[in-house]
Amino acid sequence: MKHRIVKEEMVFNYTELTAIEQYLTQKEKDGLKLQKIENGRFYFLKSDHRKIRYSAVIFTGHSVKNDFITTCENQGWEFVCSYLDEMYIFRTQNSDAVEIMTDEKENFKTVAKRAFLQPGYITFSFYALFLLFKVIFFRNHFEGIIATDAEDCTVLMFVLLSFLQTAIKLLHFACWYQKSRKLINENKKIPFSDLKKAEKTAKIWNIINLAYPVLLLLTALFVGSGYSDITAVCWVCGIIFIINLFILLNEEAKKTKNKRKYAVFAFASLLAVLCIFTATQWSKGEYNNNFKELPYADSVPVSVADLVENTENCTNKIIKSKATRFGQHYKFSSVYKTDNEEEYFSIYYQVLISEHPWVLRDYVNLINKENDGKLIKADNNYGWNELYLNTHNYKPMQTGYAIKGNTVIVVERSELPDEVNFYKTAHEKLF
Amino acid sequence: MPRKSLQTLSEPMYYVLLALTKELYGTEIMSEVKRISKGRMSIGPGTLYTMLDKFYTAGLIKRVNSGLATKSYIITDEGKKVLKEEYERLKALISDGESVMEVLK
Repeated sequence: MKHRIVKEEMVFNYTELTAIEQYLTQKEKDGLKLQKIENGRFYFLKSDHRKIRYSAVIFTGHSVKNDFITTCENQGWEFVCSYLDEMYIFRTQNSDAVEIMTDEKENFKTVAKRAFLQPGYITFSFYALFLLFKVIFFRNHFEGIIATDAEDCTVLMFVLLSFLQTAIKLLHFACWYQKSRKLINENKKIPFSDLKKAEKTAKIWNIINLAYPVLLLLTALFVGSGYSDITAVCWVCGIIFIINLFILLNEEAKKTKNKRKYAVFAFASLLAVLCIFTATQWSKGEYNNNFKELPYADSVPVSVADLVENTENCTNKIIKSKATRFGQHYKFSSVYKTDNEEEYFSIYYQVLISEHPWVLRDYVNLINKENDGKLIKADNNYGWNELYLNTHNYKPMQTGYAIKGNTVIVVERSELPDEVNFYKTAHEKLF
Repeated sequence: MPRKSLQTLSEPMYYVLLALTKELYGTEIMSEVKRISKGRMSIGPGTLYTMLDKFYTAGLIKRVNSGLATKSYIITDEGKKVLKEEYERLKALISDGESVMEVLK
């Protein structure tokens, strides 16, 4: 006869060992015999309805693992399976079988240590830290530029929420730890959560997990409002969120019996987060141009002072300006009208101000790389003349840069109108 | 350092080390502890092997390969030293207590 395997997802914590034991005992009463636990999933074999006592223990003595199992079996316990080589599940029909863990103090030390290090607590923190450093530090170091508003804000929100979630979990652990320590000192048992309490805790985690994509979504919508290209993606996130909500409410109605939907919910949340990330990545490097029509010729900014003045005159909405401890970065553009009203001439600016020479150097290298190594350095008249006029060797687009003190100015001009009648010796103004 | 955490033995640890003055298997250690403590102390296999792992890591006991699936354990010289120190400490506690208890009588 072929046995039927039943799988059930159950999110559990090592501080809820009693709940696990009660859960497995209940399953056995319902005719489901535990076979194994893999990736937080319980596999049951359909069997007879039996009254079985389960014991879930945290055991980390790897060097004596086999002897431990054999001795437990000698004491009337049947070894069922282990989870991550630290949680061992035994069962027995003998109600008088000796307790596996008899020293509460020693047991508490082991459980507390494993519960603290249980995946999901610290891993999450490290993940958040990794993102923080990856995004803020490495980007600034290797690219020399600063991420756009939407990207920075969403990533920062993600990191903060990750920390918040970890902090709540750690607080929960700390409360359990304090309570346990007090009871242990009074020679009482470790207060492992029972099934009822574990279900209540699961509900709280559900709410926290729900709040997570909500806040991320709101952030993405808020910062994305200025970017038409990600609005559609934000809508997709919103739809995913509504589906999440529906699944969660449905899940709540069924208590914690069917965890499969919870896994779907978690996956959908992850998808929502990924969508937001993708959306913000799309906005990377995008900036709104200053399409204000400016007078020709004399008003073309060529000096650092001109550029700073131009920047100050523009609002945050039309200029990308970001500052970190490494420096300050501006991106903006100007459109100039020629005498012929149908002809326009655009200049795109990027200004990086930093006290760190390596930031300036890396930034120039990056821009040079982006321009296939043809970046013009304005260290002579010819350089800037070529950038603006380029009458000798005409190219439709041209990019040049100048360094003055702690400032790098990168100027990129669009195709010049034929009848260009302005010319300023930029070098004279700059240096 | 593991040895440091074992400078003061807990009551079950003390009994397990006492039992291991002769070579024993896990189940035998449990029975021996019960016998030495005259039934006052009972140790579960989980607690026992958590201790054995600590003792083994600290070099207080050694495993004896008997060719069977399970291994037997026996105290080492280092273990004997720790046990003796603990015994002296407990004796001193009793001695100190006795002088006070005499007054109470």
